[in-house]
Amino acid sequence: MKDHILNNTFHHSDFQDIKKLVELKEAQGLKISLAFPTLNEERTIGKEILIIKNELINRHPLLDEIAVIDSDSTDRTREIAAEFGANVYIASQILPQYGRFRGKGENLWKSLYVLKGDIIVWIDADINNIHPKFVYGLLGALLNHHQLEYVKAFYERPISGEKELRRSGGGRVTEIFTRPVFSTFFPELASLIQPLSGEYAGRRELLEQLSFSVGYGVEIGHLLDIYKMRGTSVLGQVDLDMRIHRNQDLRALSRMSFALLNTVLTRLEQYQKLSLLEEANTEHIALNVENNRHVAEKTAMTPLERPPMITIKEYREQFKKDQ
Amino acid sequence: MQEMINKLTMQLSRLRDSILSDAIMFNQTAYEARGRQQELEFITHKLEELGVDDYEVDDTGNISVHLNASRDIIEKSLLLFVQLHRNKFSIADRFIELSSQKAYGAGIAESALASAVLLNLLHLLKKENVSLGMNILFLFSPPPELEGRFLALESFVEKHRHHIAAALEINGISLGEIGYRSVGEYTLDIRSKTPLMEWSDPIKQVDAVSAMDVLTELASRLKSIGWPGKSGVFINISNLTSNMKLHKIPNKAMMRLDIMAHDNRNLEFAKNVVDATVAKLSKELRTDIEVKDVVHIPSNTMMENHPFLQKAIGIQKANNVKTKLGLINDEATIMLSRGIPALSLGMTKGEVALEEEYIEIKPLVTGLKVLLSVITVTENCLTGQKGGEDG
Repeated sequence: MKDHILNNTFHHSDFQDIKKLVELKEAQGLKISLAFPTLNEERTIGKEILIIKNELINRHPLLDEIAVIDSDSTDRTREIAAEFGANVYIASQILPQYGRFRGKGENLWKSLYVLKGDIIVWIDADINNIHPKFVYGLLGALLNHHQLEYVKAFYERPISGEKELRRSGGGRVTEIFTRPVFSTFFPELASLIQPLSGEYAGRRELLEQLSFSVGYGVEIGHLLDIYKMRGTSVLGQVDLDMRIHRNQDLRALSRMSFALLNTVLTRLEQYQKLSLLEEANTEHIALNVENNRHVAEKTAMTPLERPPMITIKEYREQFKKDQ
Repeated sequence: MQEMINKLTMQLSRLRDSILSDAIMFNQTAYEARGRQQELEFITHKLEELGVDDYEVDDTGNISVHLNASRDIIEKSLLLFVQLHRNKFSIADRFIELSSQKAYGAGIAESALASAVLLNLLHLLKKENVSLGMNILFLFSPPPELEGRFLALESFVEKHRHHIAAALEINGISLGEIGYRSVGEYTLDIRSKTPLMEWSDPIKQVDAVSAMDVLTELASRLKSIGWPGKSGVFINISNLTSNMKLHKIPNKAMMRLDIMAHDNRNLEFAKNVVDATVAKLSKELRTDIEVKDVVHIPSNTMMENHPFLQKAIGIQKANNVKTKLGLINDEATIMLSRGIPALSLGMTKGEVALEEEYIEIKPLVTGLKVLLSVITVTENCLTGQKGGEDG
């Protein structure tokens, strides 16, 4: 059996001739947008915007816009982002008539409405070692390989401590949860090296047809839906060498896995691969120790999904999709 | 000429963002490439990306580019250079945090910023086809293997000395500070070797001394010399080590000693005193003490009334930058000692402290404006001057 994903696996250096990428973009008549979903990222957002804007707009016009879609940050994220030249949006003020949720997926979904590009690149805003390759690596695959519609990043993820880096321990949820799940139910997707990476790019025609989980499940939901709609031949992945960022503690990873499990179960039922006999619990349960006794801490994590953007009337009007 | 300066000045705000961007990436590059010459690879890669393909890399790793290198003006060149220093900080400390006013992170204020300034200035002048009536020789000199010994830079200057009419070193911070004179300096490695002894040996032999005893006694004698206040001599012990072994008394020790003085006469006098003290102690203790010269930088104050310096002061004043005259970096004394007028200029304000290092973003544009103006007036200051004199 042909492994499309491994065949569509690249290294960012394959696309380091940015001038050539600009030529390809112009020849294909495309507009390209980059968006950072943010929540309190004042430590890193400034340099991410500065470097990407300088390299990929000022020096080489590969991008047409850089936007920040913010979840009501309480620090100086929006101010710094605007200072360094990004278009700043507050997620809750985009399509307000459809309500507001807090989560990365919500910001990505709403970004489709405000961004103008035919190709959208999403990059997390907490990258310490930001480099233009994070953007041109993903775009290079899409611009050079027309059959690809959705490209994910993968990289080494050392843990960043106070004063040093340790060279293992990143991607724990992928190896302990996601890959076993893919191996069991969707083995073709198990060739994705980092299915949960926060950096990916896609063509608008595909993205507008995807549902968006509001929270952690957005990436895995996309992959399962794309697999169902288009198969794996439209999926690519690009090696970006290394990504250094804040690492989450085990408690946060446990909540992330819980959200992913919910998204996977929803899709398994939707695609008639599995049927639950009763409804799954939507509260994550963690254990704390108080006064020398274990106490359960419950966090409500009701799975919320935004429908495909193409189903939103205002979107269809804005992008003239009904004509 | 003024029209050209105005045209270039208008681009400095945009240049500021490019400089910051390159400085941030330079600072984190060392880790990414994991190679020995990672800083140089970053620079050559950036030059190629900016369309500056005519750079040269010599055997020692110097990267240089000529601007306006036509046959008739190459004989009068301004050397515009950056001496790179190896970044000793951990990668976690080197990631830059950017606020609206400042860029924080270990290393940003030194090689990273200076290299980024030089790269972007070169790109701007090439892009705008700037003609200055003289050649500008842009140079990125690699980090020295041993701090204080700038062999690569020295070999470059030696090779080009007959057409370098002046030199300008770019410093990261200390905007307003113009380095124009050097302090004389000797760095010596002093080694002592004694017979190997067990812990119990000194008890049996009361007059036994260890290698470390010899050097601590020497250090004590040197530090207690009362140098005349006006001589400006300072003795610094920067390192004292021995070969520690279990249940043995160290038999080998090494001390690194810096002798500094404002003028060469006092420097040589202090060096002679150190040599004599070593010889006397060696005789008293009946042990060999070996002295090796590691670095010798003669002092130099030749620039006091030089028009190059005076013009730079005038330009800073015209840009509302308060001038503070100071010592030039060690590496730039290579030029001064060869009779080449040399200055160092700071590009912005900032601080390098133990817990925090940062540069200020806004003053960078002023620093660039001063640098650009100094470059454009250099030709007038150097009329009739060509190349370094012997010696």
